[in-house]
Amino acid sequence: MGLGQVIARRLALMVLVLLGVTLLTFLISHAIPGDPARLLAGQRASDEVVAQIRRNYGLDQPLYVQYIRYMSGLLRGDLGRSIRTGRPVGEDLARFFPATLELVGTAMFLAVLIGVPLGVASAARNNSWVDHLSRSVSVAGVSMPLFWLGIVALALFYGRLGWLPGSGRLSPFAIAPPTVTGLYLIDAALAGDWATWRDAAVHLILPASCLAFVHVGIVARQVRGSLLEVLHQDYIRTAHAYGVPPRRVLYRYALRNALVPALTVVGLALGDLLAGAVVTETVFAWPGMGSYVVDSITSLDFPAIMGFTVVVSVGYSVINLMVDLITLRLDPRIRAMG
Amino acid sequence: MPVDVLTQRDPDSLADREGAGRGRAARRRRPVMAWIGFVLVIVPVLASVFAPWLATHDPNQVNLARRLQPPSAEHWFGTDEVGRDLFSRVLDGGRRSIGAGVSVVLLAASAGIVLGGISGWVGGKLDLVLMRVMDIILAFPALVLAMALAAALGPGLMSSVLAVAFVRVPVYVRLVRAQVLSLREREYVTAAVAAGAPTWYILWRHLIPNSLPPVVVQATLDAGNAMLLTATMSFLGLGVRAPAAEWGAMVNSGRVYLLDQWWYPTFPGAAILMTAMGFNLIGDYWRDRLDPRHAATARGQSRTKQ
Repeated sequence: MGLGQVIARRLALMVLVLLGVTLLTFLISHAIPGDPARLLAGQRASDEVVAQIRRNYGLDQPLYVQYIRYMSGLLRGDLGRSIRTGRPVGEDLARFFPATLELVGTAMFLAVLIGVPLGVASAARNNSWVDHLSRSVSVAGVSMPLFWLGIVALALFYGRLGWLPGSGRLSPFAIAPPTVTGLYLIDAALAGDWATWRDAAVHLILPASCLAFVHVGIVARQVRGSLLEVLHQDYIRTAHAYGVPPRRVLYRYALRNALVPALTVVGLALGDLLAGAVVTETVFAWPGMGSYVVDSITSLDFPAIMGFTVVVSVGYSVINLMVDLITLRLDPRIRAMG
Repeated sequence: MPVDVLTQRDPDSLADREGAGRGRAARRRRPVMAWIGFVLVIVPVLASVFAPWLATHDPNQVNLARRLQPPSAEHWFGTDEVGRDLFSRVLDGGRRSIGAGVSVVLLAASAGIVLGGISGWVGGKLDLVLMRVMDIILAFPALVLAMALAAALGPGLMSSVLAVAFVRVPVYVRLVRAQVLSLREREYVTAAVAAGAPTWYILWRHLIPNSLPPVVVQATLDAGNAMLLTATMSFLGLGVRAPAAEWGAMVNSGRVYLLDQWWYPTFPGAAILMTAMGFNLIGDYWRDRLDPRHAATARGQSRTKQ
């Protein structure tokens, strides 16, 4: 099968999965809570008001008609109107998205920055202290309640030591840099405002490190596993037999092939990071999509909850498709398997 | 990968010498980790089961005169904002937190065994549709889908358990289906079919029991994860209703007091970490024991399929 066909098949599957994602979200929001009209109207509303809302929102139509209407709205970027803020959910999410992106991006960067060298060291020196450290980090990471880690880190570094700020993206009364991307680090750098840049960076350290901690172990474990596998292959033995310096074998011959499977794990980890952002943002009062959805849950704001669910899941699926395609590009063997 | 196996059995190969060395080291070390895991799990489990007898106070007894007391001989883990004894509440909370994790795994695994067994055995269109549905569920980040589901079902421990279980079902369906697909080619299964055994009998007697070991391992690894997820949902306000004690909810209500009353959120959080780590250590060990290919992973030779 050619590369084009493989990509076409993945894309077709992707469309199917995305349709399923919207259908499932739609069913959750329209079928399960019993009566969305009652929810919209509030508990004390009279029956006439509820019936009026039901007509207005088309909730008296058959379910499949409602789904088609929901989908046609979705395709136009209409995610419905938030009950809590009274604004379109799409606008709300777009406003909070850069903060989440900055947090998740930094966490991902940290996880890779620490996880990859840790995995390499762990594989290169199997059963050494580095190896034990890396495995301990990985067990601790997958067992750690992120919300608790955040609180403890907050108490220690903000409360006890006072080294780092405890909440938000900037100090109180600080003025956000002029919006270009919405990412404060980039915007402040573009504006040449290094005081604000430092302020934003300092605010990022604690939440991003907590979020990254869980994933350092996962990345390290995967890099270690795939590197060790590669190190046992014939071409590595041949390279050693030819007298290629061990360092060169490790970095030039082995690592390059080992990083391809690791990439898939990094892609999957992005989904966890997005979910982890919900928790981290809540703990650190980070004004992103996660805080927004938690506030929406508290006030049972269904359009907002479902809008968030669809956006995050679609984003997650697209990222994974891209990772798949990059992996295909990098590793011709997978292409052959189709 | 037959070629690999041959290479590694070659006594002269570098890989084999290193591999054997690591194998011995792994065998020496791993049971220790599994025992640690066992202790980490059994202590909180027993403490929760016998909570009514071990608790020093009534976990829901409010005593405003003794609010936010530090740990002492009277209150081992201190007291919370309404003077309830935290040691007793951590014990009592374990019944819900560990219970939720275990229930999630039991529910998801049972559903997975039934759906995966049918999907693998019947095959065809049913299999195709079921597997695509599982793909769709897996397309959501787990916590995000569980949150949406639990919010729709209405807050409460039951709905958060159901929501997390729903999210975890595909893992078991895929696992059991893969097992059934390979088992159905075995001679004893063919023999049973030839002898005219009904489908339910073959599934019940041959396929399901033989596909159980990996399910049990997955369930153990998952128990910690399921506990973390349900605790996270409680932390976000989607879990238990007050005044019931639950670890995630306790961390949530204690977080505002952390700066001055560190003990309040610390003990329930540590309980979650301890139990989840125990489940993970046991699960890792079982996986290595059961599947030599994963034992290779433990020694570092991952055979991750693309």
